[in-house]
Amino acid sequence: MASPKKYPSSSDYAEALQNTGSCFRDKDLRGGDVQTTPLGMPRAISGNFASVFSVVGGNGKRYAVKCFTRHVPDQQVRYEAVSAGLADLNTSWQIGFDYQQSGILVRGSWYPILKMEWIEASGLIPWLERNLEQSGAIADLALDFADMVNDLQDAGLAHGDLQHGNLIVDRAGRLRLIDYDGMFSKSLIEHGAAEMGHINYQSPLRTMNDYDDKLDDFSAWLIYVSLLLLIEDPGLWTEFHAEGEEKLLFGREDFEDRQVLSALAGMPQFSTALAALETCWSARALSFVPEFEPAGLPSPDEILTGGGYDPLPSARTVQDPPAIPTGRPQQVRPVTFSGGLGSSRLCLALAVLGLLAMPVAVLLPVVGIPVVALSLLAAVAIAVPAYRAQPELADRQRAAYALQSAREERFAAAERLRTGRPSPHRAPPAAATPAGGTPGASREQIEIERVTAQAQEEKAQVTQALAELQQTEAGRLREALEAVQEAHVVQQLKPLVITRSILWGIHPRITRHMAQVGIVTAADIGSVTVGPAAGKRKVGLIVDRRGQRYLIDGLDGAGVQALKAWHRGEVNKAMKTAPSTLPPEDVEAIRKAAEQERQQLKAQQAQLLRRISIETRAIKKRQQAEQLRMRHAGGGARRPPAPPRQPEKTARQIAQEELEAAEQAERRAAQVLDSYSGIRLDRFLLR
Amino acid sequence: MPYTAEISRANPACFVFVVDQSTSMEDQIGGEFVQRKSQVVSDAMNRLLYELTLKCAKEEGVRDYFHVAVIGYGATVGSAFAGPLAGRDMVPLSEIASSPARLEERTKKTPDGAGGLVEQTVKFPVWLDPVSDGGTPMNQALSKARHLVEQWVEQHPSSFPPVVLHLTDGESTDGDPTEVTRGIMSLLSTDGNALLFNLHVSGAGGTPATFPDNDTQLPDSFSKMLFGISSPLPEHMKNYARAQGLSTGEGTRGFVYNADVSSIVQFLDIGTRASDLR
Ligand SMILES: Nc1ncnc2c1ncn2[C@@H]1O[C@H](COP(=O)(O)OP(=O)(O)O)[C@@H](O)[C@H]1O
Ligand SMILES: [Mg+2]
Repeated sequence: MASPKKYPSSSDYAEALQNTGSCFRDKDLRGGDVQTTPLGMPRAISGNFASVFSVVGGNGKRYAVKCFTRHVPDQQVRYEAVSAGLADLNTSWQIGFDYQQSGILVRGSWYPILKMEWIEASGLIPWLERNLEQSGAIADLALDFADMVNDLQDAGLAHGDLQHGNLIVDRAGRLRLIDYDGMFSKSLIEHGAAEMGHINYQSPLRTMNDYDDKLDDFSAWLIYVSLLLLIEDPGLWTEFHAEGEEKLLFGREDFEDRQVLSALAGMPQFSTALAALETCWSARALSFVPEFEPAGLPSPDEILTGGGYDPLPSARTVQDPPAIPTGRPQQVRPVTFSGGLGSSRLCLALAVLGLLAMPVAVLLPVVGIPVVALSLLAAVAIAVPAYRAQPELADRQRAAYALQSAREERFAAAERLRTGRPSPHRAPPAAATPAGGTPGASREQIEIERVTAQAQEEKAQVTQALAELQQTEAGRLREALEAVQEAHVVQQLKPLVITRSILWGIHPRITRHMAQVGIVTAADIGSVTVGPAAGKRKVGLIVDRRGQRYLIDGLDGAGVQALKAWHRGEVNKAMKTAPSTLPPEDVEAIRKAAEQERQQLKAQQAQLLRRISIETRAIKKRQQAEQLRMRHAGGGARRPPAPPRQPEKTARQIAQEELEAAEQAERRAAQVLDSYSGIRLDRFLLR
Repeated sequence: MPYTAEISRANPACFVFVVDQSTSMEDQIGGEFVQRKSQVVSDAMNRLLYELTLKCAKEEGVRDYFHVAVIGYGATVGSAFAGPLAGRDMVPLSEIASSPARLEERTKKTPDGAGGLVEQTVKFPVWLDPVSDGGTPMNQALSKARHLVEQWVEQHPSSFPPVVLHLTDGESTDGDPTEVTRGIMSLLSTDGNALLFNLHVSGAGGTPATFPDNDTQLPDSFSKMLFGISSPLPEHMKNYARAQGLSTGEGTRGFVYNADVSSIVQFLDIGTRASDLR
């Protein structure tokens, strides 16, 4: 192993990159144009161990140049192995790269670079934040992600650090995987792991000794499940991802304190997904984290079309992994995620049971429930994989997306009509007149706002309390340290008997008087001042450690000065040897106490979040039901006639037209989707 | 374990730089090329700030993982920023990145990798000018630093502990700074005590030293004093130092004598990474 050496820092690289004519060896990069900041300095994107620069080469192509700020043992061998492992894959998520051992010249020495194709892309978090409401796009991304992990699994590779910073979304909305520094390949086993991955995406059981093809399972489940949840309910993002947090919906803390998990726990549509995460988290050894297998969960499309979740959460149990066999744990084959795979089939089966309620009802008196249910279950278990393999299914999924986005467009148009806000695609008409809202819809909106405002206020109070708790915790730590220091000082001052110290102007009569009130050593003195004048004479006032005040007869101004100087000097001397930190067990105790209070507050907070979510959902449901009812009631009723003789269209008219167009589009999309109804699972089963 | 709090936008950390700008910084030191101490110190500071902004640069720009104050002391004690940030105390890093006083160009001869030298022009951002004027109110300046650190931990009690980096030639004119530095190091966040590092820029000669284990090789009483008031290097920072080929021991402190100090920026883990170096 090469001995560690000091690598250039980011600013060293930024300096070298100002002269691309001499810093690169590669002919494409040599003399290339480095992308700069508004100030005209090379623009860097940095991680903890590297900075990436964007360079347009002489050939007009844009490259990403990764410059390393720390030595990684066997880096070249690693990249060669990864390159070989990826070479045959030819997948859409890969990026091309070329590791150059002597790539860049910095202050007279050559250092490695990774030359990559530059991907015009957005990081996963900013992309999600822009696309939260585009559930279809998130569903596509989730499918991409699952495919990508499967590709890696098939190739016997693992990325090692799947996390938002290494997943980017290109302009075509396709997922791309970057940062192959820590990848696992069988040929690298003897070299061992190069890093441990992002803490928020890794099992706490992972160590530097873990280096195998299972490295990605935990993070893959975590990311995939987060994406599924976001398709189902984009609102989870604002609830569970605080601005600037380095995670999607769940980080390590969220598993540890369980607040987010328990906040979601009551909601049946999340149960399969959460069960998957639970199984990963509670695995007793890393090898028991189930292999990533997306078929175990409702598919993104199923969620998109609203059919993806288990209507009976209580039916779901996560099977405990078998006990760890002693001997060679390496060879233990991971348990498949039974809580997902098995039960999602079960879930579908139950759905089918619902769909077939009629025939069952007819059959019931004859055969009885158990027999029917069992035979159905068996049929489903066999049929589902075959069903999923049908090519028409993909078309149906596309049709489902189309319907979904048409539906979204209609909602948006209805909203525009209601609020009178013009469509973002158009300039507002010159003579826009304010449009009146539909009272029904706005009533629901007001209701939602009222409910959420109230809960938000309560949440704010809890958040405030949490913030204050942090302050209190810091205060408690400070006070505890002060107490320890004070105790030390007292200890030091105790042996310093006043009568045995040479003090100017203090007569034995005075010290006797002091002794009578219990002031014998320097430790007994809190402070010394001149007390209120008794007649013309000034009298010394001693405050002892407990805050008792004593006027000392005969202690005059000079005496006060002497005593005070002596006392202060001794205190300062003692402070010099006082501990500057708290003993760890004290810190621990204070932290524990505060932690307990924090847990209570967080539990409250989680409850509130849950309440907000449940209540808004209920209101929305009511709202949708109402709309549906009105549409049915309105049946073939004519649309309100367009106001005659108005040459300029009003904003309201435009919105009205848009709504109609959107409604039509939705109907068309629904028809298309309907034409695929022939391949619904129930029919497939009965075929 | 202390010094493991995540540094993130949700939980930022703070840097307080304290820069000696007294008349004694006018003096020249030199080995290969002679330079004024004030120039050495302002170069080091500008380098540090640039390093910090690059380290926190992400796809969308520089993130506020840190807030930074630079206190200068000499004829006066106060903010040492030149240009648009003049007079400011605690400044979010993204603002630092976008508001240097100017870009400066220097021409240097650098090795061309093939045994020769080439002359190259490089630009770098400048936030601080070299200043050498007045006494050396080190205590006053460090008290101000303590005040800023105190405010920071009040407002960010669970942040990574503040890092105070003091750049000086050590010749205080307002007394022994030991008391006030103890005060700084006894300030706490829930993640540990504030850290005080010292960069000693000195004409006293002797070998440059980076994070030494003891003070026996240090040339004079000033360097020994500054070593004495430097925080022990936290464990994970020692690991980083070792990864850079530096040797560390039990007594290793955050003290640098006439050498590059910008590596401390690389000692800070940003974001939540389960680093193997922890
Ligand atoms: N090929 C590339 N195209 C575009 N951006 C890239 C490319 N490679 C890296 N980046 C950007 O640089 C950042 C850091 O790169 P990465 O390889 O993940 O470094 P680190 O190992 O420091 O995490 C990424 O998050 C991404 O924004
Ligand atoms: Mg990365």
